[in-house]
Amino acid sequence: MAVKEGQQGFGKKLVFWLLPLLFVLLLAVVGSVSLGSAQLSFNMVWKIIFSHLPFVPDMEREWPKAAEVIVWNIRMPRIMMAILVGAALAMAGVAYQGVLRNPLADPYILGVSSGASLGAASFILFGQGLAILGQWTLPLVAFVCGIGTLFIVYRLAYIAGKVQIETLLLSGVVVQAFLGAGLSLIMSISGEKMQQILYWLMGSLTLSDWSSGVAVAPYVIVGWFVIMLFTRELNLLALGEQKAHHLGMNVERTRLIVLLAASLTAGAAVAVSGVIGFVGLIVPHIMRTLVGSDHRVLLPVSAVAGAILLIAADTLARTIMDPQELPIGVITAFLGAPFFGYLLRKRRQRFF
Amino acid sequence: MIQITDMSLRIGQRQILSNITFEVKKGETLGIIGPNGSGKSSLVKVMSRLLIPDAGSVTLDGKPLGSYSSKMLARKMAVVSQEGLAPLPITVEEAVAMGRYPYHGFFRRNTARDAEAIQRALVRTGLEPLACKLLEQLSGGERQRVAIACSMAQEPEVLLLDEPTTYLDIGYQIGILNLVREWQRETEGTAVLVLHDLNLAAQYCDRLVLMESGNITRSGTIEEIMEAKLLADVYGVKPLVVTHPNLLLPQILLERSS
Repeated sequence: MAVKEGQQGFGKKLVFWLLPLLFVLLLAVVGSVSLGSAQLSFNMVWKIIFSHLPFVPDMEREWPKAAEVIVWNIRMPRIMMAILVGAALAMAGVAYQGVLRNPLADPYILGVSSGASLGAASFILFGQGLAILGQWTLPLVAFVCGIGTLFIVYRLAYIAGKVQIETLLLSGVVVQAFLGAGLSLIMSISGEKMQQILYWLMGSLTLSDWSSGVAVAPYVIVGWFVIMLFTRELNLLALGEQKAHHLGMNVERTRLIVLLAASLTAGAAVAVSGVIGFVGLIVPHIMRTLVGSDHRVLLPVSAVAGAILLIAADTLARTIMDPQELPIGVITAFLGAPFFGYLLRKRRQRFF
Repeated sequence: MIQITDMSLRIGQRQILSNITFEVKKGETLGIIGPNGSGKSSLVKVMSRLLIPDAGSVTLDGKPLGSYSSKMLARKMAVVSQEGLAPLPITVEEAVAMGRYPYHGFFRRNTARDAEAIQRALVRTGLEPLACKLLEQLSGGERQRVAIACSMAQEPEVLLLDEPTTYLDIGYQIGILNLVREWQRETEGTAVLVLHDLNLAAQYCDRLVLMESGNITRSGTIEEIMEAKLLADVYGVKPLVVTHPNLLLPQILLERSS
């Protein structure tokens, strides 16, 4: 009897948390689209979005064409990107924390962001003439450099046929230090391009359009599926790597696959939106205190929460100092750091 | 059941194990004893494939250890370590259910068979009343019992226990070893126990393997190993070997030197 409860329990829990979160997400989407320099009513925005949904029959256009352009061509792509990036970073965060068995891990800890940053900065400075793929070249360069860095970090930590977690983390520190130095060098000689580089580094969803969303979506979705396939393994890892091994898990292979999937997801996010920090660290943490450590629940729930957070952050980024836009990485850091401090204090109290 | 031939293991500069040759017969309870640093834990790690030896062969049920897939191995062999399970915020039943992992393919579903195995493990270890409690609410001894239940849920043919009684009081020590014994009786399984308590080893094992500095000094019956001079050589103390009045087995008595 106790056994059956356990198995069904996770499904109920998932629905219990996911439904309200999805509702909040929907509100956030419509709400965010209606805010901005051109204020649009919640109602009108909702109708415009609704009319664009695939299975909805043609509706009477009771709204000005200009509003439709703002909603559908300018703000919606941005919101969609926020959803993709927010979900990607949060999911990658859950995966990283699960595999590295460290609640302070975030998707950048093994150098994906450092590599992407150096790649992007170098390209902005030197490579603009080589823009063979047009607007796609920069994100592609960033992505390749980000993933390449993961491989370097992994290879460095590969000792005597094994990769131990501590070695992996240290390897990440070493490689990031080196790449960070490279980035500083690039910035110091970047001259007039420095602002462009800085802006990229601090994260922004400004130039999101439907095509970039479509380009990023496969990575996020595939990454999502792969990580979801390993939720049971991630749960098992909580018992410790040795116990997981004794229970029949191929720890090394699981770790590699999950880290790779998470890094591809995070890498894609960084490539299109720059380095947006804290989402991958905070969201898994918050959701874990709310829903527990069962990854079958934690993963989907964190993805939605990450999307909501990023929509909120992006809305603040573009409205708080209207008409100027703040980099979104600044908002997430300002929101994230104090909250994290609060979490740390709460944790400490629990031990006493 | 397990056959180890000429096995040796080196980690970095240190020779951890050398010239290890012995076998574990199906259905027996083998005890591995020896001083700290003699390589007992490393031997168990080699047997459970956590460590790969540099030389020699290890076979399980006639097949080389390396030929088993991770899950196949976990279906044949379960390991309980000294630390037991960490005080995690998961229920006893969830923890024991993890023991069914080796039976699940990629698209896993918990079957009635799984529920049966989990239930049986909980009953055997007397954990039914605690099934819904969180591990973090349990004592060390109770968590060790959960670790054993989890291993039993794997329905293994071999149970390896690496110093399972280290952090436990005498009540739990006897309790855990009795559990293993009952399990063996019911399933005709094989058990390998690494124990630091020689008296318990003598009482619960059929045969003993005495290790020292990475080598097997001697292996044989209880009487052969629980021998005053041999133990004095290996441990460096002079134990008195007496006969247990009820069990008629050799037991050692320690004596302070001054």
